[in-house]
Amino acid sequence: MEKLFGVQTDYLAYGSGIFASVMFLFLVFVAIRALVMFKIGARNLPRNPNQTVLIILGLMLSTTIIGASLGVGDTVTHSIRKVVFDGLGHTDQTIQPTGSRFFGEEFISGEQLEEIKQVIKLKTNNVDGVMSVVEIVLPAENLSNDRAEARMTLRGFNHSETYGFGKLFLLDGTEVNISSLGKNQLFLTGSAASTLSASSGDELRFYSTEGVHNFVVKGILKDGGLASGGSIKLAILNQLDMQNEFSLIDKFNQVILSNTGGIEGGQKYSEEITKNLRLAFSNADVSNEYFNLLNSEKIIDLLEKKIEINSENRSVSETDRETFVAYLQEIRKGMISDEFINLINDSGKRFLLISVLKELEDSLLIDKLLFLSRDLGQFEVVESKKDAIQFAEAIGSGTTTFLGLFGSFSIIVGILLIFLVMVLLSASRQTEMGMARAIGFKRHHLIQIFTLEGWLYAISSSLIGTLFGVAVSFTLVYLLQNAIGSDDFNISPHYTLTSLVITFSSGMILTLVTVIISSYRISNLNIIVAIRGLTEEMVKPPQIIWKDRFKNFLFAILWPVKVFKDLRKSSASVFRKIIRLIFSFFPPIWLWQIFKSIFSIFSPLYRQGWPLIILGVIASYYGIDLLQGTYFSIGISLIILGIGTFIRYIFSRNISISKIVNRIVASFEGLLLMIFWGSPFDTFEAWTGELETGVEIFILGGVAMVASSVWLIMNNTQIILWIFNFITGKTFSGLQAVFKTAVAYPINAKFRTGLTVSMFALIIFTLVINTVLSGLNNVGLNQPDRLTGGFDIQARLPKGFGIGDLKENIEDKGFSDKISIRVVAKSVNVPSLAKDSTNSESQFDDLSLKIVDQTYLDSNKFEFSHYDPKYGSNPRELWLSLKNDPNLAVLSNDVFESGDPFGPPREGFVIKDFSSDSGADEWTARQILFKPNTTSVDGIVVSRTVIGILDPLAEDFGNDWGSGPYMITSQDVMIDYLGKEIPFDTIYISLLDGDAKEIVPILEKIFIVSGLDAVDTIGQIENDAEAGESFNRLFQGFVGLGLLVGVAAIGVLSVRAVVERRKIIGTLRAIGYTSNMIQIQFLLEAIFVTVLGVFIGVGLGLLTSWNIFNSISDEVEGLTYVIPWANISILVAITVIFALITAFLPARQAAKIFPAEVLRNE
Amino acid sequence: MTKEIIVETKGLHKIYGSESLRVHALKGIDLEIKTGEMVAVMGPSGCGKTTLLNCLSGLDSINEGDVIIDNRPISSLNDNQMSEFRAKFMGFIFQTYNLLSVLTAQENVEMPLLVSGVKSSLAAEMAKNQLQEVGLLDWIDHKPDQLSGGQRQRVAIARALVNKPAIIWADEPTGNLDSSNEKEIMDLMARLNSEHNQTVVLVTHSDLVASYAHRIITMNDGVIVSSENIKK
Repeated sequence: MEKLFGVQTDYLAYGSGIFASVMFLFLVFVAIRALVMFKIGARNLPRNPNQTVLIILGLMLSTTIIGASLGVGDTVTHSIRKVVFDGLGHTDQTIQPTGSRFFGEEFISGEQLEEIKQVIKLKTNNVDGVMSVVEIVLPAENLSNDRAEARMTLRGFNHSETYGFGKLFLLDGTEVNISSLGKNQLFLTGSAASTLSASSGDELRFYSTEGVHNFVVKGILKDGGLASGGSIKLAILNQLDMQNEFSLIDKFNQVILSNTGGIEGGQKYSEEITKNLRLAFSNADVSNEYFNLLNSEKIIDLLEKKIEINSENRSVSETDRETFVAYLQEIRKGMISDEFINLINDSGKRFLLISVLKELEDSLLIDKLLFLSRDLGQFEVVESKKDAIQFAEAIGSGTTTFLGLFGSFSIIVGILLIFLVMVLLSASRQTEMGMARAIGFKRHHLIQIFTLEGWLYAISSSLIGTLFGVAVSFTLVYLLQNAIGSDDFNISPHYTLTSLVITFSSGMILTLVTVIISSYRISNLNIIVAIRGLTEEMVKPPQIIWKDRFKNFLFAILWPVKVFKDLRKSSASVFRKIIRLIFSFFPPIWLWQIFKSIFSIFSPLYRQGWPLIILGVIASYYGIDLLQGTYFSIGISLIILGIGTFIRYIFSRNISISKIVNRIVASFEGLLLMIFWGSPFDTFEAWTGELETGVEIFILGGVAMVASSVWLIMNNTQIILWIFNFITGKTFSGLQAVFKTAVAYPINAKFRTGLTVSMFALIIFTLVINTVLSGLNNVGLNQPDRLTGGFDIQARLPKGFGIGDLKENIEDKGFSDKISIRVVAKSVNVPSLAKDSTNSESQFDDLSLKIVDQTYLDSNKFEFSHYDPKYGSNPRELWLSLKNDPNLAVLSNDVFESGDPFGPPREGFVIKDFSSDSGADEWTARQILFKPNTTSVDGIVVSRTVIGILDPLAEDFGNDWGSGPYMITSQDVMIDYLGKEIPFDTIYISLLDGDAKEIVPILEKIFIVSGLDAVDTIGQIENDAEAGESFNRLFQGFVGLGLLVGVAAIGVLSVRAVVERRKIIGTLRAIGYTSNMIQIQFLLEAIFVTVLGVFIGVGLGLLTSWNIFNSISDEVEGLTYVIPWANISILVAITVIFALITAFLPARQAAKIFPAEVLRNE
Repeated sequence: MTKEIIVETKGLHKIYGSESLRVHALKGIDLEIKTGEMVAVMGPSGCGKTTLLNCLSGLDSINEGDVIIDNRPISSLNDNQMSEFRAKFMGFIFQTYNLLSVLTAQENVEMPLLVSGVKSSLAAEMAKNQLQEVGLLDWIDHKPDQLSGGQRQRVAIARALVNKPAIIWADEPTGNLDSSNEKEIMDLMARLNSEHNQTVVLVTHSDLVASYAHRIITMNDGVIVSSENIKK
């Protein structure tokens, strides 16, 4: 991967590597300077090897999760790159006629070819091969065995041009060349030969609009070189022979270029070569005109707005933003430059700009730009390989970002575990630390001891975590292979050095930072409390001396002066004094001192709560003002916490009631926060308007809900204890003692129990949401007609091919006994631009016009999300209205703006003044104008009355493999709009009986002459569902790693509990506990904490998925909320079993404690 | 009236450690303790007092000889039977109280009852009564860290007595208390001993504590060097 979270991975690796190294070296420095502290810290590792191993395993989990997400991303990138290299071979750039983009098929002539070759020779370096290509895609049949392929690619090469593109080898290793092909002979690549089951000597027949063409297979080629085609079924022919056979004399589709450096290394020259060629082929006058059109203040303003990073530009990708910046730079220069010409001759970047300029609502400008686009240059130069590799990178980094996003819960949980481990370590050494402080150790000595000990854990855990991360990613990759792997696309495990560095460094930084913060907290102990094992509550907090705080602030501003003053009194060597003085000028240190002193001045105020309330009000206000849901939610949460803190502060003076008040306030805080975050997404819309949110709200919401629930429960543990006592007292009087202690210990250790419960709750929360929502996708399997329109088979024909009467043809060819057809419907798509005539702000935008025949209107079963009741009250009546009145039409559902914060933004034609949340029958028929999408030169504008919006589920099959919004209307539009009837190219078949899966290959075989390419719609839905299911498994496997963290926490807690309670175990044995009862008690403790976390996680997960379901079900009718109890039970069972397994050893150890041994110690 | 022997041991040996580090803690102890008797075991540190107490109560194993309690040789009991026997027949008092810090005074006292299978409502009632008897009725809902040392030891005594055990084993019961608390606790134990006729075996260094006993056994180097009845 090259980028992650929009940052170059190389920079991330360098950045994190350098930061980790600096931290490492700093600690080496500290360890050398404070060798005694290092020794005290380090000796703890061999003291208890089991504990050390457990700590390292616990600490490594965050690193493992980071490593796993990077590894999966690397693998995806690598696998797609492999496909690109396999498919393109040595081809780095492609040159094609500019007009082919506008007018369809266009060719390069022989004269132009020579011209191109001359330009390449004169204007470029590092090109080691130039070759013309003739290419057509045709249906093919192997006459030797009746196997057929609807889309066989035929490529004609000229042997004299093949230098630089690699050699050709037969499967047996024999080198061959194009010139060895005789008339009507060809080579096949491996995938083509396999599809046709062809071998040397077989006779192949190709069907074109002109007739049939027979060729003989001369040999089967090994993949690579010119035989690179990846998954394409490729036949290689002698160019001249092919041009003669298919009437393509003096016609070439494209010219391909190979750069020096081989298949992978040539890319580095691609940018320069492409730029030089674009300049050479560009038309200076048109480019100038283009520049003048773009050189305006309003365009500069628009582009400046687009490059801002804010929620409005959420849909602007990093790559798009870079393109806008490039345009902006060039336009601001005020005069045309080579860079500008290069930019506008990149069709992708040019169309991106035009699509953004549509926002200016200046249709004249758009028309002019589109018109000029045709004449910008004679030929278009495409960086084929670089573009494809960038796509691979985008997919790879997208996968890592997705996994990283959901893995962030596990990473948070991992950090909590590190914190928990450090807190428990300190608890076990509290007396020791108190004694150390009593005999003269300073606070920073304790920080040093813990940090240096933690440093050793961090190094080991990062190292092991990285290795585990690689292993886990490779395991997950196997799941990915099931999800997206196919014969044509294989997932091959891969891990880059960059990812290894990022994993190790980020793991170490994360661990060390948590260790340092924990050490800082741990060191803040009261000596008496530590030695005597009292509670902190019994210690009066120190008095606030305002004068000192302000004095510290002034000193912090003049930090080097303060250091100088202190050093004068110091007995350190001159060298050390100078070093310390130099360091005091170091900005981060200086700023940190200022920040610390300011915080110290205001810290008593934070405890009064009102600053939080003010902060919350400001955040909420801005949230509403900027339509930012995240700010609003944070603001409200701060207000709730602020009010709670304020009430606590008021009552803090009255010790007798402050404890009760604390508990009540904490319960209200938890409850209110839980209600706020757990409310349906549109609860506050009446007051705030519709607020925008990004993916961060999912993480924030999850953490907030879990934290507030745990806060609520841990402040009301008496209720839990009462419930347990009530249940166990009634049912198991004998075991009540065991239950009582099993529950009492965890609920008394609120901090560590709360932390562990949160870990489980966060992970289970994510998994439950995933499980419930993946169940919702099954609506396609339950109601397939809503996706397929009731058609069992959908097929398409290549341009120029017709199929006649399908039923008759089947009968004529004698297949009527095998294929029993009920209905055959047809359609054709015409790319168009459309505008909502009822909305004055609406501009012409992309909308595909789907023209359907009468049978389609008569027979399809697609449904509607919204409709005008004047035209019918059910789908059939509405379709009938469309059939009876050719002026009517319906729109696809993606004309509505997407409310999905996770999904990509909707592009193309949009209905702006009608909400998808409106009632189904609230749609009012409206006029939509449309015209061809190339230019408006001919001024054809047609209108149709839209009477309904299709069900969102119809999108997959409704749009004939197309994408973006579309409009369906009857075939009468052809004459009005196009002035003629055009052939249908998509066929829908509804079967009377028979299995579509078996009928599809028969149909393809019968209509191979027409190049019919068919799919079994139900089969496709099932395959998609299966792929979705595999993705879910991958996702669950990845998120499930977090459960390991929770389970590790249970292990750590259990081990610690046994150590802490040895004497109590002895006492319990003395008063009659059997060893089994002791073991059961510890296991019950583990179960209790786990189940509490699971219970919170399941509850919040179901609540959130219910909210998500409600939000989706407004748009998708027929969805039912089903709680997958079986899956959830399995999840719960696995979690509890793993927790039990982890707690088993410590529990057994506790049971084996010999009472006399532990009681004697006193 | 002749009192019955409730604890009896003959030739009791206890050895700790392996070959190289053998500690012969008890060297052939012969002892008889009668029902209702309060016996104080005294002697210098390391002489084997606590070991004797642990062996007699079945908390520790023995290498040779046997301990017979209420005519039952405890070596014949397995771990579960021994636990049940302790729950119903014995009560323990420790120097550091060893109360469960997460439970209230009442819940601490309820524990031996619940372990013995007493219903929770009855156990609560009995615990409350026992705490009343040791003068802590107003403190039943307090947790150990909210009580003074003397109060904690009273809770520990209540816990030891609540099951009405035949024998109370007390290891330095006042070792952590000041002299006024020490006297208070010993007055309480003496009163309960006389009222309920329970056998009390206590290990102590304190002459004051020993003065409450009917008999003082003095140990040295793993053997009983004297057994002296005290005339009250």
